[in-house]
Amino acid sequence: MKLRDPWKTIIGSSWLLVIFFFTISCTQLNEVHRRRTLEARNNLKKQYVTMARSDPGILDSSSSLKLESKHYVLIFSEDIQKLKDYDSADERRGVGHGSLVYMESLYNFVHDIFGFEPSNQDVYGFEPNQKIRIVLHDFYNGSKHQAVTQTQSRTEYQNGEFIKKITGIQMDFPIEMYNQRPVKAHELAHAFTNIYLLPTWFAEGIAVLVEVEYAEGNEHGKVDLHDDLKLDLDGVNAAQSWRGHGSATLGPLTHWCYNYSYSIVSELKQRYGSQFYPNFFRLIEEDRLHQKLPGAMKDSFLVYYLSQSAGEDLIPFFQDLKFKVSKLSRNDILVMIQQMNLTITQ
Amino acid sequence: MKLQEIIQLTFVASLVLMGAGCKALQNFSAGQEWSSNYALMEGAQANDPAIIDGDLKTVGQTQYVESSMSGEDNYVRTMATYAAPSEAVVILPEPKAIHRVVIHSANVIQMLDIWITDSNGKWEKVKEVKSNKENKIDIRLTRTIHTAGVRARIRKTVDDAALRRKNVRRGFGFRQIGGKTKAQAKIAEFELYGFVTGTEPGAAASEVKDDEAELDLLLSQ
Repeated sequence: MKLRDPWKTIIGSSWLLVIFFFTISCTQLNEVHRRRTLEARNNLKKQYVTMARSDPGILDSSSSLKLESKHYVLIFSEDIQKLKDYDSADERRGVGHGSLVYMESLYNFVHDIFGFEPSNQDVYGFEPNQKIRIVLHDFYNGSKHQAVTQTQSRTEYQNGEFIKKITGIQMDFPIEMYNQRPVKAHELAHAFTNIYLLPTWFAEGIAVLVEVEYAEGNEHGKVDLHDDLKLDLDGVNAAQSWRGHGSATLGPLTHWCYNYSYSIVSELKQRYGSQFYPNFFRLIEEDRLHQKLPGAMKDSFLVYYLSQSAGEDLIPFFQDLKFKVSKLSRNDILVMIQQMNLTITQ
Repeated sequence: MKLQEIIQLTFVASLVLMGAGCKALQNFSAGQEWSSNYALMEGAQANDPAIIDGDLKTVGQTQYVESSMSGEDNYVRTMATYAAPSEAVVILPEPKAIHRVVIHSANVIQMLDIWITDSNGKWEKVKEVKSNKENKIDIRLTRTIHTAGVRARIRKTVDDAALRRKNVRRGFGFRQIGGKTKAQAKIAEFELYGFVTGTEPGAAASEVKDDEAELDLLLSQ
């Protein structure tokens, strides 16, 4: 009996050890498998822009000329109803439903990039039940190649200061442009950021960043910030005076303006990380700058908030690129805005 | 403890381990029923989410393969962009054994290739469809493929001819191309099936009936 007891203990312990190591190795194998699966999925995500399905909760009119989802109202304009693929309610329903599922997923995608969304009434002053209007055309403004996003606002005078309320956001697409994912991502970036009244070059740079680096479009690319720098007649960076694709001046330079603006925006993101822009918008939001500004944001204001987000002064960076900007404090900005608003009321 | 007892204990333990190891094989041999549609799994993604929303009413579109010829001259790049095919891509949250791909399209896809990806993200073509005339394409793969990514590359649709007429002009021996020459496929659903496993609750009974009906039809011919 005395001999058997130690044997029992040894064999029992050995079995416990075997079970223990078996469990450990299984866990490790599972972990390796999990890591490989994740790696494979990430590899795939690098190759393709894919999105999870969303729950759009689509409401449809009987003629399917107007469909509504959680964040959008989709409208088929008169001219598109004459096209073969959109001339019956069934066809519009099929395309409209699919399109809204896509746009709802894209909304979540862009929301993740910026960290805010138009449906947030605190940030946007977007009136309740307002949705982004998407209007599909055959031709828009006589063109099949120009998509435009506009934000309408109303200014109210409250407690001695001007407050902006967003009354509508509308995206107009010729159907040829709407069928291109990078274009939709570009325009949705405008729909999200228009409220901040950003300088044109920066607003377009941000939209191209989303289009190229998140939606993998290839219409635009980076240029060298120093070698490809172009100056206007005052010796200032030509991108700074750009007024957008409708601008009469700088027409031949439009493509360069897109690429150059994108290159600056991308360079800053690369230097300061993926949270750089969400932080930048959060800082503007904290000061309610966009609600107080009477017009487009001055470049010096912009550089102040970019510097705050970066944690270092970016005036030298912009001056090196021949931007005309001045170093301002937060107080300078708020006083200037107050003065600008006073000038308007007088 | 006697040697006999040790052997008995080892034998029992081996049986338990073998039993667990053979689970997958048991599941496989349990029946050849189609699984539920893996594209509807939580966490599945697609390049157009409308193709994996489980609703045949919502029609998504394939996306053009973006040209990666950034180094080429403008003319070559533009021509490559105009002739680019389009793709539907589905990524599953975890690899699954796929044996069947079903595509419901609103415009007939006449020619397409099915590709699957390996764990390193490399794509392999596993099936070609060359002369389809139906809106529903039901593709059986010749072998079960364990993958987390499936894509359909669209080679030809019924809408290509109209698009070419619109975008290609001929005259004086020249061809002037002003836009895409291959139409996007309009896909209502992109479904992926394997065989049902014993642990899987959602065996697709309707799909089994579908198969049985197909088999009956074949036998009656």
